[in-house]
Amino acid sequence: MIEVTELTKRYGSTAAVDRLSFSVRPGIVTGFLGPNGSGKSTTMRVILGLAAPTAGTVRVGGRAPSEHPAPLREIGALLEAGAGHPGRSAFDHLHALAATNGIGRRRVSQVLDLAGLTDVARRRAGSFSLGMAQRLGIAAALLGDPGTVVLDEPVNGLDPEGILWIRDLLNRLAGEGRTVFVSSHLMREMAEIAEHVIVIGRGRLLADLPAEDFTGTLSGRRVSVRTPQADRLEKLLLGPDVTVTTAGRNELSVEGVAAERIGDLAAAHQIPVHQLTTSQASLEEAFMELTRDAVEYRAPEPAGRAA
Amino acid sequence: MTVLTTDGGAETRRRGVTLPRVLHSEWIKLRSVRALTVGLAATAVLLMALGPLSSSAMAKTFAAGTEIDDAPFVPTTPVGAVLGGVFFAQLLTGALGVLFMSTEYATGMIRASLAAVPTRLPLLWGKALVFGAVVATVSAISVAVSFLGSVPLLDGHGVAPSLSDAGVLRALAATPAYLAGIGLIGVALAVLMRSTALAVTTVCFAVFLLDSLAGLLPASLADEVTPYLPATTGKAMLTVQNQPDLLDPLPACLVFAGYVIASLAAAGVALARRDA
Repeated sequence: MIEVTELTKRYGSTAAVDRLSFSVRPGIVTGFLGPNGSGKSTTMRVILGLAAPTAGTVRVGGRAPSEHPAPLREIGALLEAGAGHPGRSAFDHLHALAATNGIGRRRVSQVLDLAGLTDVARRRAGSFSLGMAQRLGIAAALLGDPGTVVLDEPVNGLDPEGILWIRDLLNRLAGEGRTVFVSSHLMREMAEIAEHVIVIGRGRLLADLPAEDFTGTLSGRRVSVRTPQADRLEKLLLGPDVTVTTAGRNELSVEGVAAERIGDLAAAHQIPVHQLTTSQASLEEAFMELTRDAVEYRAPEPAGRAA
Repeated sequence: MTVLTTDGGAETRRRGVTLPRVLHSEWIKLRSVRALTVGLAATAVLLMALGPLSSSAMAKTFAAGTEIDDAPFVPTTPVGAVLGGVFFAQLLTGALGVLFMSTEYATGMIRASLAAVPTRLPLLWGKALVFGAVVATVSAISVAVSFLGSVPLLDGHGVAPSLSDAGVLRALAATPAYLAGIGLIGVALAVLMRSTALAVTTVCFAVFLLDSLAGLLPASLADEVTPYLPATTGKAMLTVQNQPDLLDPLPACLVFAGYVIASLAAAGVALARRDA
């Protein structure tokens, strides 16, 4: 359980995090979304006790970060891939971290195995690919068998197999009753990993809701229809609260009418339908919608673009 | 393959982070990076080789009946010859002390280290104790070897130092302490500056150039200041005969210890306060 209450972190006159409150529940994977520079990493560093809050409090398992006698057993973290001396072997890197919390070599071997790094355990970490460095960071996060796991952008640099691996791992960790908090600025992976999402922009909370609702509530269901008689069908569909846009030749994008109703209407009027698809707004679209105003640095609109 | 540990963690869970555990961790960090182990080995080789080399050069000078050159780096006393490698070794221990700490910042390891030890200060004390103890041990052995190798070379000319001579044992024993102290100043500067290049330059400046800089002061002021500079107090600790322009060994030792303690204290404050 992570509880963040009225957290503010200022650097000079800029508030990287601005009165942010949320809690992360155990037993599910919670995604932490926001554009680059939105304050995700800062929030995570405060949760780990690496940065002191300007105001507000952070509790992990009911205690402040520095109050845990054996912090690695309470909270495991991946903050950046390859955070370790490049000349040190993966085993020694993990062993050095483990030793501070009285964690033995056996557990070090276990997490190396878990991360699929046993074969390269004695190799210098500097020779690792980005994907392997991510795995090493995740192995470090699991050293203390912690009840809370915080991972900053864990899928960065992973190949599809690695992404699958981490998704499976996170689900397993959550299934064991742990609190799993995962940040990303990439929506696609998060859509498949997180059950609950917390979205921030410019250090402020934008949304805190189940991932399903996040995509569901932000835009209605859309149905796309392909038919050689698009004009006829469009006239039949139009009504209050219905928007129909022409998505291409012979293709309509309909909002406000269920797919079943469209199919029935077309059949009744003997309009051939070649394709009828319900598309839900992706997490990505929902995210873009939500953070449109919260993006700190945005490329200017191309000049001369027609209004 | 299970995520849950099968370690009997009850006992460790109870005790958590302790200084001995941090010492163990820092020992692993020190022995697992080749730059550090090779650097420490080089320090040992310098101390063991330059002592007998200087002694042999001194013996030849005596044999030829010529005066000893008053050039820099040329020892003028038998104990100075035995400790002929110290002048160079201090540069190495200072730089290695910097490196041991600064790479934590350069690689991002510091965040993982501090997340594991969120009370922070044990990390600094652990690093300082491990590095200080290793440097002191390595230098003590190397100085002993240098002494044993040098005595036969100087013996023929009746100038071989004996441990029973006044000040000889003290000068030899002070050497590991001085070299470890320079290393600890390196560790502290690395925390304060978080930059390898800056901290190494500062150590070199303090050890090699500060007394030359003091020479630019008006003579009366320079005479007042120079004996209290880090390298000069080191010289006083390692010299057998008291010299008029140096502090007595004990006060010199205290002043030098003051530098080490003050720099570590400043590093402690910085480490405890700064965001990582």
